[in-house]
Amino acid sequence: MTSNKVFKALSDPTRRRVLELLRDGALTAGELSDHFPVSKPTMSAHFAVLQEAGLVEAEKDGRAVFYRLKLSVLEEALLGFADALGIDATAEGMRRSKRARRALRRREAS
Amino acid sequence: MESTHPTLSAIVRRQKIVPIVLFAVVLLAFVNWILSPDRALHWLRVMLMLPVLWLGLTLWLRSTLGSLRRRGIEDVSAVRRYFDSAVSMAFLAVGVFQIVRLGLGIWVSQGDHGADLDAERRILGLASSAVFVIIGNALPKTLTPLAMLPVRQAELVTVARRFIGTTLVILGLVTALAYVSAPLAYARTLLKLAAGVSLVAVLSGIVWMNLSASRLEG
Repeated sequence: MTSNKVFKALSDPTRRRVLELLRDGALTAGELSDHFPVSKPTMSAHFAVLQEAGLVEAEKDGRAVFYRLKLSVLEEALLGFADALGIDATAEGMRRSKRARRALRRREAS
Repeated sequence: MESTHPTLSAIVRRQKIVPIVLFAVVLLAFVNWILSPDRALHWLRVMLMLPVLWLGLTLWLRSTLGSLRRRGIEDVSAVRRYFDSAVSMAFLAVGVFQIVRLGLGIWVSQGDHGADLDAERRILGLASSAVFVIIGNALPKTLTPLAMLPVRQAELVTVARRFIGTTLVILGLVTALAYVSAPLAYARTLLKLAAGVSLVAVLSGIVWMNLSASRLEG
């Protein structure tokens, strides 16, 4: 399902940050990667997820490949919601929220 | 480089909705013509609207492809996709509205529905609002190919489309709400406002694109 792909793409803070960077204009893969302290293969995987969901488009211009934002109004609103709620469905994000829930329960019990 | 995401326009093309819409509009207009022959000229205009729209967009595509080839650009697949999207969206929007309108026309002409004329106007208003929401939502997703404009200008067009798209979606939703709950006069004013905004947006977009293209060729 395409909507699942969109939700999956928007559930990761790194991918949301990529979309925010692209809001200011098209950027090459290298320019985008400079903003993140992660390896190139990891960034390529993020770009692939965003492309698969149809949220960005890569287009060749001369020798450079530019990534461009391709959000519908509804997807833009979803991005805003995901950012405002701080959704983080990555493995690390889930672990963090589980730890936070456990700590809250312990505090309530004591 | 093409996204694997099945866009609305790709689905529309794949499912051959364009000829179906065209056939349905012409057929319904023909039935309306038989039922109300006194408005023959109006029904003829309705029947010709979509073929003329298709012809206009095709001629625009041919002239753009010619201009790109003159500039030495051979890979025009992105431009073709862009025009395919424009044709599908235009047909879907105008077609859905016309089908609702013509269908209601047949229904009204089939008897004394005086009391239901208010409902007919509200349904028509809702169909128009839906068209604004559909087009507004999809507008920012249609990216101008980089073969047509330099990156910076193409991105400016995208920013403008995002703004216009958001405005149309909001206007469409407010108009739909007005057609459901407010007096018809208010709803009609809102619909006129939405139509005005779209007209200005489309005209300014065409002027901007042509000015940019002629500046590039010059």
